Amino acid sequence: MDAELAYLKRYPDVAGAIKAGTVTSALEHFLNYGRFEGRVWLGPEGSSAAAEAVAEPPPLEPATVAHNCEAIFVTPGFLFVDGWVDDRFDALAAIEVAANANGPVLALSPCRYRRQDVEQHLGVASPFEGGFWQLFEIPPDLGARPVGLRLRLASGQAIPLGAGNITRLSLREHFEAFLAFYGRRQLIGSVVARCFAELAGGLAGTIERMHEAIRGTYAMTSEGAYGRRPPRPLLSFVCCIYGIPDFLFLQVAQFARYAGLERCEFIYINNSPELEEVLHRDAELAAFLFRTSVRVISLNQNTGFSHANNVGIAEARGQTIVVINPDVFPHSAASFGTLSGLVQKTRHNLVGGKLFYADGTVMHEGMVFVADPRLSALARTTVWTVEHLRKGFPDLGDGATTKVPAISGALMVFDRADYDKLGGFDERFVYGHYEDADLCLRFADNGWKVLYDASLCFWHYEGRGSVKRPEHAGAVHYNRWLFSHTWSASLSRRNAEA
Amino acid sequence: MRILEISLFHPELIRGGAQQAAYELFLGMRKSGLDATLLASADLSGPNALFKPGAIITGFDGRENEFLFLSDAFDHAWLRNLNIRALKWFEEFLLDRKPDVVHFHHFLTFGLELFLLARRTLPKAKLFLTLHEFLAICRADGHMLRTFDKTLCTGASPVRCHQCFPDITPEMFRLREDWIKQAFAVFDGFIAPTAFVRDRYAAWGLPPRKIHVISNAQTDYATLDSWRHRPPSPADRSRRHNRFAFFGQLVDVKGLGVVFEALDIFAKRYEEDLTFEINGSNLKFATEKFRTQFDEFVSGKHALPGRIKVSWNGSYAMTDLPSRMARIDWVLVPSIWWEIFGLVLSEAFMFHRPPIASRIGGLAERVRHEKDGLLFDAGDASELADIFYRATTEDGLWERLSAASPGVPSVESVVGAHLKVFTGRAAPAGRRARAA
Repeated sequence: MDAELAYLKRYPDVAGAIKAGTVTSALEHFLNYGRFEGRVWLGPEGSSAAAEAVAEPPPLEPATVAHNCEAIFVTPGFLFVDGWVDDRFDALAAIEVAANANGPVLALSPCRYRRQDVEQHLGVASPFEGGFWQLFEIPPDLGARPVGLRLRLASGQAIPLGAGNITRLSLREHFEAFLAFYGRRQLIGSVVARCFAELAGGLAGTIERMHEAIRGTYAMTSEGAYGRRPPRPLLSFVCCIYGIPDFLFLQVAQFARYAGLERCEFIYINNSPELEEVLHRDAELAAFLFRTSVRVISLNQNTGFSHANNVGIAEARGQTIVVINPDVFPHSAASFGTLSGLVQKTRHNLVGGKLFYADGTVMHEGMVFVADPRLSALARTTVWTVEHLRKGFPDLGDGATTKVPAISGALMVFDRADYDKLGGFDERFVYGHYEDADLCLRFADNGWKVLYDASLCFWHYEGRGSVKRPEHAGAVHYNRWLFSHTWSASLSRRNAEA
Repeated sequence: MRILEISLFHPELIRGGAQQAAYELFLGMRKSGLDATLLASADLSGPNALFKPGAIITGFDGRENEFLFLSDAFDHAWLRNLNIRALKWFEEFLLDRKPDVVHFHHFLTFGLELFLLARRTLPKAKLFLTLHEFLAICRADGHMLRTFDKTLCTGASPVRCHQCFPDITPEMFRLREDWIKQAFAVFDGFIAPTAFVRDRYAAWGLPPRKIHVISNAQTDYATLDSWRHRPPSPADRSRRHNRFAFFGQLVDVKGLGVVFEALDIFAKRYEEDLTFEINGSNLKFATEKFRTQFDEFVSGKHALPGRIKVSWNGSYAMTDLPSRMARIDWVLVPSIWWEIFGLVLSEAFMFHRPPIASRIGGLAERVRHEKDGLLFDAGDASELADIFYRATTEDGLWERLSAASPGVPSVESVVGAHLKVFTGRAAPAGRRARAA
């Protein structure tokens, strides 16, 4: 007789417990309740299992490892998992993804982060990084839709993760959700150092390929040209708009304060699809009111600073290009005059100006690269920081032009031939940050000059021209690593020479 | 000389001091034989039936030389007009009318762009702007009251404005100021109804030499038959001048709350009797707290001795002024914000009803304390209660102040003062032209 049936026949009340959902089987009842109540397990098939279970001494530690899988983001080619596990007694060794029970398994070391809610839940006195996460790049041989996901502890125990939290996302949504998580997670220790270790350990490659796949989806949704467009503009302003539409009209207005704009063109690249209509409206208004050429090129997603500017510059007709942030405005008529004086004179020169905060203090007089000793020590590799010269200081009123290591992307004046030769801004940088410094270094590597012109005075309401979103915080970590990884040796050499 | 007067709203449609002054000036110009045209804005807060499909500018009710500018896309954040058709039709209108002088009375509902367009379209025309209030300086409806505690603000700055609007960064206020000043730069001159306004705008950055002080144009309603032929009023013969009145908007900043508080103090401190009449409307724009207080006082729920009577007469038209003024002695102007001009002062002066006003802004400038009216510190209910007592008991006070009432300058003289400015014949700006 089946042991289950025998147990149920001998103890009829257990059938009621199963029916009520208290237990799922006779064996479960025996193991959890019956044996402590003096009941016995009979029958040849079940006897060994029950005997084994009964024979084991009561565990000193919990029979199961407390854990939870909180999110699984899935998109073709990538999978992100986020959860927590109490692995204080049996360390989490790997997170595994499998196509099925017998298929190939992809195992990666877990990335960890601190979860104060978990510490509270477990009653842990000391902080520990109970959270785990990993971003998997799923190879084609693992199948398009991997289903098996488990934690592997050091003891070899596998903990299957429930599939209930799987969310299927578009690639872009997946990327943004991951970067938002990456930017906000809490750690014990230096965030920068941990990011550098994780990125160097393989995460950077996954992010790069994910980003590359997203870049393949960039598309233009609309293009509008307003006002009379000069065949050969003296100055082509290229500006990326993200999140705040107001600046298009206001920026053109600010230029119009100081000079006629008939021989200029303004090209706005829209990285916020939801602003498309408003920007076209304001472009038409600005072109009519200020008698200039205003173009709007709207993209289907936030393509980042590099791509947007590359698109805009490709559309520009002028030889002299002014890459400008939406929150940058001429300081005076003289500043506009200085800018106009650069027309056709920027060959092999990348020129930046003196930027001012709204309160009149200096925001930027060129940039330098500094190896951060503390972060470098923690990260065990050189971590580079970009510093703006004389940031926050009073203006000295000087007007000289000097060579500097780099200038801000908030205002860059250059010749499009130089830009074309360099291939434009590096689109590997995600969203924005460090691509301006990267361009400056490539410019200098080509034997050309990066110049700071103190008479090229502009306001820069830094940080006001666009919105901040959670994913940007994660992208900053990646961009910083990418910049340091790309330029570290070169920067060390340059600084030593300087 | 062809003059285009551009007014925020038409007083026939929406009441308000600025549009009343603009309209009176326009009528005065026509009466003086000048070729004046009025373009008054209307927006969707008014009668929508006035909007015609596809039209931006239309005539108004068959009135000769009066036009409406139909505004449907004004952006309050940046004071912009977002309808490009509005800009283009305005430009066409200017080219059609070819005015020699364009005199704006506001940018609300029009957009600052129209200033720039006027200059571009009519490079030889003279452009002027009357500064009817402080919206250019202050985003808080131009009140220059701190939004968080309603205290008086003496000067805008990016950080101070950010304190009033924490969600807006200081940089955006800097940009706002830049944009407004860019649009204001097209004007050949500005007209301020009081020296107080002139000084505020000069401190803000407008060139003082360009700001001319000219009193608002206002018809003298005391010349109406209903006043001139009225039966003798107790105010004219009684020695007990204990009837006080308020005229104006029933909103917090007009200071009725100070009067209510003063009545309480008066009731405890003195034994005289008095009446207080309230003339005005727009209670719906007041705060809940003020509305409750108002209801309690006018309904009698708030306990006052029987010798103190409070009543509310409802709203009033200018033509009602003779009858409303006939039954009171004093006009209270207890504002707790920077009154620019104080239209009600003109109303008080024209009927020789001495004003009792807050010592603030344009009120302090126009009321000559102890000569043609009395001043008290804004918000000081205790001082106001004492003034009630003095006003009701001091022999000869009312007669003295009433007799010294300056009246109002004639519309004709105000038109003349404007013409002097328009033609460059005005005295150097900065000197006060009190009687226009």
